[in-house]
Amino acid sequence: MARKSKNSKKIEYRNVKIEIISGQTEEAIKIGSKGIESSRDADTGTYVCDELPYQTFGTLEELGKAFVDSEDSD
Amino acid sequence: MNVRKNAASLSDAEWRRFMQAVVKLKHTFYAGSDLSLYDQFVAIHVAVRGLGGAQSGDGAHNGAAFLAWHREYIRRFEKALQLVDPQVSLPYWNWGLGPLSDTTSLFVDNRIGPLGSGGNSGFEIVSGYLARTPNSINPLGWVIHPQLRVQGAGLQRNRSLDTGPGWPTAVGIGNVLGQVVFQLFRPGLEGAPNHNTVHNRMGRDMAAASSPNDPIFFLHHCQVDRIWAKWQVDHPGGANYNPLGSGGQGHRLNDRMWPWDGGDSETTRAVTELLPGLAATDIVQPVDILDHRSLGYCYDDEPGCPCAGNGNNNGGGGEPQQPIVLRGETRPNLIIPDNVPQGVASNITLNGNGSVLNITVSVEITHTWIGDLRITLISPDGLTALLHDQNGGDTNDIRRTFTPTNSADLANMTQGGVQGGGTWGLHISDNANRDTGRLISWSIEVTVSV
Repeated sequence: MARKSKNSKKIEYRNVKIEIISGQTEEAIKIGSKGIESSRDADTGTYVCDELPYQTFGTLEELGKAFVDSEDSD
Repeated sequence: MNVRKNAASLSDAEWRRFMQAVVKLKHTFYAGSDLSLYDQFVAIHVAVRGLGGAQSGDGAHNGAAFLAWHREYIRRFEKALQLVDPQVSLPYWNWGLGPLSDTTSLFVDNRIGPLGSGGNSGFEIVSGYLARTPNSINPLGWVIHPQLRVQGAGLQRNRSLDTGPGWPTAVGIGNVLGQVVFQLFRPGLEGAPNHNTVHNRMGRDMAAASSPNDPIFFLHHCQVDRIWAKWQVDHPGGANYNPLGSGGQGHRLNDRMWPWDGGDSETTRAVTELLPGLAATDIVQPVDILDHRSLGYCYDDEPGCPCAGNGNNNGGGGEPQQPIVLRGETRPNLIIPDNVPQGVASNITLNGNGSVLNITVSVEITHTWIGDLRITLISPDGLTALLHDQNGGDTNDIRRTFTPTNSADLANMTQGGVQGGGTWGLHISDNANRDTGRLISWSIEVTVSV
């Protein structure tokens, strides 16, 4: 059986490292060392997460940046 | 038929009754606990965002059940308010569809309370019914339960409400209402610039998963429900609820929605002990609640809805008759005989007359295996309410308050005709051998009409 590949994209935003891991069956995001649980809207496919419950994002990268912004504003 | 009115149109007397009922729920605590009936609603909303078991993920947001779940949720809240004051109905916050004054007029002390302005955070509400510090309008204060806080003990809102660009508009909502397909209508209403935007622009506590800590949540979702009801007029029938059946378990037309799912799922959030105990038969599916009028309410501007002031809505008239609360308690410290179905009984006599509007029963039992126990309340007329039916397994002790919200049998006793005055009995039996315990104390509070 062919091994499923995973792609990892790392960016730095406002001095915080954001890692986005995309596999064929899973997607995950880490902000610094913290894993963020995200899911997708059933109809639109936009990304959502518990920490920002009333926001939706087109990409995990946008979600990650918004998370960093929200941590900074607290 | 309950008439849900525009919050901006409520009289001062109607606002007072509504907010007093809300405050009463917030200050109706379980015996020996700082958990109130209001807090349980908040806990449900926190818990539904993370489910495991038959369902996974969020059972109430970002999926088809968003509208149905919140319809049931705010309806139960409204029914809880009506146990306090039968003349109260949920008002709707007419954002987007009404003039801006329908929004700005709400944020004053004697209505839903002001925006944030003070406290240590600079965002706390410092006056009105929702101020943390007791005041003349709410001598009890409003403190968020410690396990349901994200900001602080006092309720917080943004210091100003941005109703500029991006705020819901009649044109935008009209576009959403014009969507023919449910899968486009639902996210259009749930997402920006509508439901989500209102949460975020209120900010602070309203922008968190525990957003029902702010009572304006219920006015906000009443408006969401009203817009869905409008859409349903043009798109009637169950076939227009997510017709393709997409979405996870719990979101489809005939799925059970947690927590009204007979125990199929459970929350993964750390608020389990704050949740009400729901009967296994308390099951709700989206298909059950598509017709809001069949649930007993309508909106004041929809065709055929009784107009205000006809005596069967949310109180367009004068002051209500005050219900009377009858209370009693006893500490019998009775041994519950092991594995004897005949059990033991303890009585409390309440002096007074009137039909039961609400019942609260608090029980303190020590026992080493509560799954052995069956607890039944017996009314003066001989009606019975099964409060505990050999559930809970090997858990120790029962210290719990039963209400119509968490006991279907108690709810039945409030439907009319049950006499509140007289001798109430509590019967407890142990139905398996070995483990034993005692009925330490119990109390009953019955609200009756006069």
